[in-house]
Amino acid sequence: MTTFEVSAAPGEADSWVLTIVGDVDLATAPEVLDAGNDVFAKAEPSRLVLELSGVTFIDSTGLGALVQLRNLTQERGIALLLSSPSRSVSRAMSLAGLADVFGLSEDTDGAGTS
Amino acid sequence: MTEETARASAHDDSTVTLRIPAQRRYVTAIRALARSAATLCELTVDDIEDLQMAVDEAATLLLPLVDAGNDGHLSATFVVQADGLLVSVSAQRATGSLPDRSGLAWIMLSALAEDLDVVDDSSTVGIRFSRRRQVISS
Repeated sequence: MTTFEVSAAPGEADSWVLTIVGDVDLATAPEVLDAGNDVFAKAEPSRLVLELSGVTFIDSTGLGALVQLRNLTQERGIALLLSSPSRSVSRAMSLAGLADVFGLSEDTDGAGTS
Repeated sequence: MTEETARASAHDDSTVTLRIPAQRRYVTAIRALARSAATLCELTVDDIEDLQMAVDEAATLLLPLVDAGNDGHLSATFVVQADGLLVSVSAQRATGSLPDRSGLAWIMLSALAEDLDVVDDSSTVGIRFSRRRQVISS
């Protein structure tokens, strides 16, 4: 079984960072959404950063959770930023037609700095 | 990589089947087996990741159709061939419904799978597809 972990911490300036590590699938995706909601419950950041370099797998359910997070940030006027999406994230978003939605270009597998 | 190096020939198909409880947390086991089966027929790293995504989406589509509380289960079968894999994910159905073809899971499965087909009979619902090894140009 792959280790999965999502953790939230205050980041630079007025931001919070959600760090997601492991497989984001139909079993673990709800935890991503819960972690986001926990942040919104206790803070009012101007920016939410999703640190995705450690995501080893993501499926449609995981992408759905990220889309829901994006909708929640938009409702609150919070900027959402994807940091260092892993190759799995870039590939899945490209297949799902979500790369543009999240500001990823189609040809940047493993984009971002490590 | 040549046909001669393939560990399974078209005349010597090898079949591996895994049966899991119809619960979300067990789908990771199907992905793990997909990785092993793909390695046996020498798929590329990219193909292996795509295959894992495809079997995951197939399971995602089938789980809502299974009665998890009544010994419901999913079966995943991989036929290892010389040039790729035949994959079947199936379940004893609890409802008359078919996999949802309107959502993101189906969109992704369609993009990842070749020869995609839904198996639909009175007691079983399933999804079949294949994944062929890409010809690597040097």
